[in-house]
Amino acid sequence: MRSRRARAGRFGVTLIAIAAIAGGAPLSAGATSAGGAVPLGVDARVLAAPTHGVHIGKGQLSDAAGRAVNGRVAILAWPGETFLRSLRDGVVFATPTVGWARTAADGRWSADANPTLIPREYVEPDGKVNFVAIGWTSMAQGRWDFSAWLGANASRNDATDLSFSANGKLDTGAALLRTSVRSTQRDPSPELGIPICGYGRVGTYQVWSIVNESWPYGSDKGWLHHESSHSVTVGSAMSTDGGLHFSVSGSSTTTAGVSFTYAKSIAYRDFRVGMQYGKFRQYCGGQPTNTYSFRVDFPNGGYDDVGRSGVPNWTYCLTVSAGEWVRNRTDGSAWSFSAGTKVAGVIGIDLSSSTNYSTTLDLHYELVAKGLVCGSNAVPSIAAKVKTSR
Amino acid sequence: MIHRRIVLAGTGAAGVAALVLALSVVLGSTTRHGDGQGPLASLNESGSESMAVDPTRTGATSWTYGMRLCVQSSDVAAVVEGVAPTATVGDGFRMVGLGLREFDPSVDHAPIISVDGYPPPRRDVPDTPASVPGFVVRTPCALDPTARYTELLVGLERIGAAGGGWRGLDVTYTADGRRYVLAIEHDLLICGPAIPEFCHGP
Repeated sequence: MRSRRARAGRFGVTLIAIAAIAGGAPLSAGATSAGGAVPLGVDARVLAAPTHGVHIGKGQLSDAAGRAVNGRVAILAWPGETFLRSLRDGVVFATPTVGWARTAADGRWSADANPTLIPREYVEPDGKVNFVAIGWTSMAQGRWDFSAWLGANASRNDATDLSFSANGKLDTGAALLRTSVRSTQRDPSPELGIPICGYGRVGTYQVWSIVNESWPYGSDKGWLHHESSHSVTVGSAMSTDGGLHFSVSGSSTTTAGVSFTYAKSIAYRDFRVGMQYGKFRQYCGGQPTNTYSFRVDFPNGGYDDVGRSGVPNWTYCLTVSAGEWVRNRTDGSAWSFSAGTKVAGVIGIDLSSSTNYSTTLDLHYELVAKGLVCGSNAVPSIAAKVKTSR
Repeated sequence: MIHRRIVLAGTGAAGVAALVLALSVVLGSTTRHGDGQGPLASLNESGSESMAVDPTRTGATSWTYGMRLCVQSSDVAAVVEGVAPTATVGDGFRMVGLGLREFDPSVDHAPIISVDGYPPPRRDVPDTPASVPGFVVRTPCALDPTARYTELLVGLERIGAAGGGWRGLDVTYTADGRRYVLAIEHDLLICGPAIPEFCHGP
């Protein structure tokens, strides 16, 4: 049932992919350009001329042993949070090739992206775009995910080293072409009998980070208001063996503009913020390949609270009368997203995250009578955790 | 409606303080700073706090609010000149007292966020608060709950159903021959229609 729906959607989005990529003759699997064979997913037409546009980064290409190698690097655009939020299951989106560069003899490369080749809906409001760098030699290829800015912030694009290795076998899609030809006989859009590639989301995973706790005494109530407005950069991973093994493949950025208020309650609770990861599979010419990308999708705006037991014995206590006590923390260390990268249970490895995740947390307690407010490691106004007591 | 209000904080040692104030104004040397950004501090880091007392639950008509004052360096004491609200909200309250105390905290002698009544009951605040002008803060900012503690006490009385109170405090002081204003993001409030965001919850 699901696969049928997915197939129908896939064809629909392939059309979007065609629209997103500038017109011209369809690309064949196993395509070559003037420089030789081209990896599956890279649009050889873009390699026909140097890319002029926005400088998006630089790095060094190496082989599996870490030795610098001479090759080429293509830059593909990947959609951002806004697009991914509206992406339906089974729909395949384009990853258009938007630039490329030839490495120097020492493997160093510096690439521009042509903004006119980047779908408008892939650009976040702050000008940031997620990209995929594919580097290859005559025998091997590799991939690195990263984010860069278009527009006013583009001068910051050299701040991150985009070095990566071409440590996998070069896949030009020759095998795919053979099955793709058969497939297109059922394709409602016969002109799409081509291995233009894109990705479809085949799974989502919610990861929760605990941002605080509430421990109200008796009939007291606790609740939390949470706001975040900064971007978070989270590691991504890829697999070329059908999803059996994943390895780190750079990072991607999503904004974390979520705001919500947990209902007040007398329960002992964990307050959790959810981040959605997506498992994306590559499709070329309507056929699935063995390439998967696992990366942050978007903060899902969801939250949860989980019951706890066993009242902690915190002794940094201050006397307080009946009423509402609130403490606010607004800084980058209000909580850590690191727990949100524990995805080894899903893909076998944990991912990294940036440390500039900034939030505002308002912790509230409603005391029904005179009592105590106690901090876990300091006075309540600055303690990591707080409870009410008598 | 939020409006600024000046609080006159006693007249005891105010002569010297007033002289310092006058000289500083003439010299134009007053520096306003946030918590943790100058010699005198409260939390000694970013963040804010609010306490909205609930008259319907306490049965009281006045309350004493407390907050820590401390110095960043034990070598640089701070001489407090005065305390005033950064801003006020509502008209259902009035300020009825200010004081400072310094003590060694224990289970039976703890700092306060708020207690019913002003002056505060001796079971909650067994110390006799000192006058604000001229009080010298020497206690260093520390996370140790047993470390010596200096606490600013502010008394508010409910005089109308609207409630309201102070939105932040400005503590004017001198340290190392310079005059400063410490802006503390600490709200002292009485529940009522003037502060609809408090005392009802989500």
